[in-house]
Amino acid sequence: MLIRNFLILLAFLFAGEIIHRVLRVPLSGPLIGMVLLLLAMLFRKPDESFQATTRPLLASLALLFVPAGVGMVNHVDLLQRYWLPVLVATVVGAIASLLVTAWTMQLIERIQQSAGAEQEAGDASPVVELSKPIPVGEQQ
Amino acid sequence: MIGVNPNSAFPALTELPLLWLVATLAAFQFGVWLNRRCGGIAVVNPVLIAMAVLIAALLISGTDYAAYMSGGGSVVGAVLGPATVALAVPLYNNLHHLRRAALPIVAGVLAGGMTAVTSAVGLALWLGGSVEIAKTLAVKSVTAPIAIGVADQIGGLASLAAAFAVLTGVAGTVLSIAVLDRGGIKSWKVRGLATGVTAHGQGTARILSLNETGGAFASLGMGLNALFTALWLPAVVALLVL
Repeated sequence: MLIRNFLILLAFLFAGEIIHRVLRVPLSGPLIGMVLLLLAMLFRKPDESFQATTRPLLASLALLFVPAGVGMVNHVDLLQRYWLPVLVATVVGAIASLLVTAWTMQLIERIQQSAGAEQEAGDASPVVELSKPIPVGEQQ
Repeated sequence: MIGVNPNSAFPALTELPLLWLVATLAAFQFGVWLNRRCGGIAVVNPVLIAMAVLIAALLISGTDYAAYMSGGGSVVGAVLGPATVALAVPLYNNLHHLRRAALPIVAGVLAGGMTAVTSAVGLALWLGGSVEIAKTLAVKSVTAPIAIGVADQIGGLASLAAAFAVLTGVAGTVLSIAVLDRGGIKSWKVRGLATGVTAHGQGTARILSLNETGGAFASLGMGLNALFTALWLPAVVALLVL
């Protein structure tokens, strides 16, 4: 089963690479493979064995980009020159992206919430499910 | 894939077959151990430690990066492709969250992803970084396997992209709860999504350890941000002719 599951992943990876190369789709092969696999799973539910194979693979995802990171060794001069812009962009960029994502999501939720409340007052159509608000401030 | 020089019958120690595969796994395991010893704090990051140890080893032994890759490093890198494809699985498992709150999630991911790119590029250029460095920083919030591909595509440096993605993962994971708390964000769904968008896999792992629903949203944020950024960033860069 392990081999079968790995072959499935490799088949989607290959399909992605072929689409990337032959059709010149401007997305990387693995990413196209990911989208194709996602679409395939919508048509056919993945079995537990397939899910189980991907789990350790994803759990060790961090290890897999160590070799690429070691490639920094070829750019020591660049890092010496540009350590300040890199550090500031990384830290300040992270703060900005955290807050903008959170505030945007919360804002749209609140707009939907008030719109949903009005709709519920008007008619009780089954569409309400779509605009069902997520309880804000939910904590466990 | 396993690139060992077949001509050398008596290879020097640094050319032992798969030496660098063993070294990579050992360095990572050392990082995991050190992280546990330090109480699992995000600053002591296994990937960062492994990278530092291996770079030091290469510099001390006078081994160049090509020799590292052919001596086993590429074996680890080769698994990245199938692992990226496998990212579809957590995305699939969390699709029901997306169906329920599609608009807030998609809007949040798009706004956050664009902020990550523009703030990084803007700050880097403003502080005197080169266009190449700025382009490489543009992909830093995307999970590393995809960051490498997109950086390559838009004219950044693929190897640095992975390193920057790791650095961003560390920064976003360390800052996440502290920053979101001050921003008045209490919902784990929102916290999760924001952390997944900003700090990809590392942030997702951290949120997952605190709250399961939050972890699902983080995983969704990471996956969607990778997908969206990979779609719009190359197009924007092409339009701006950077």
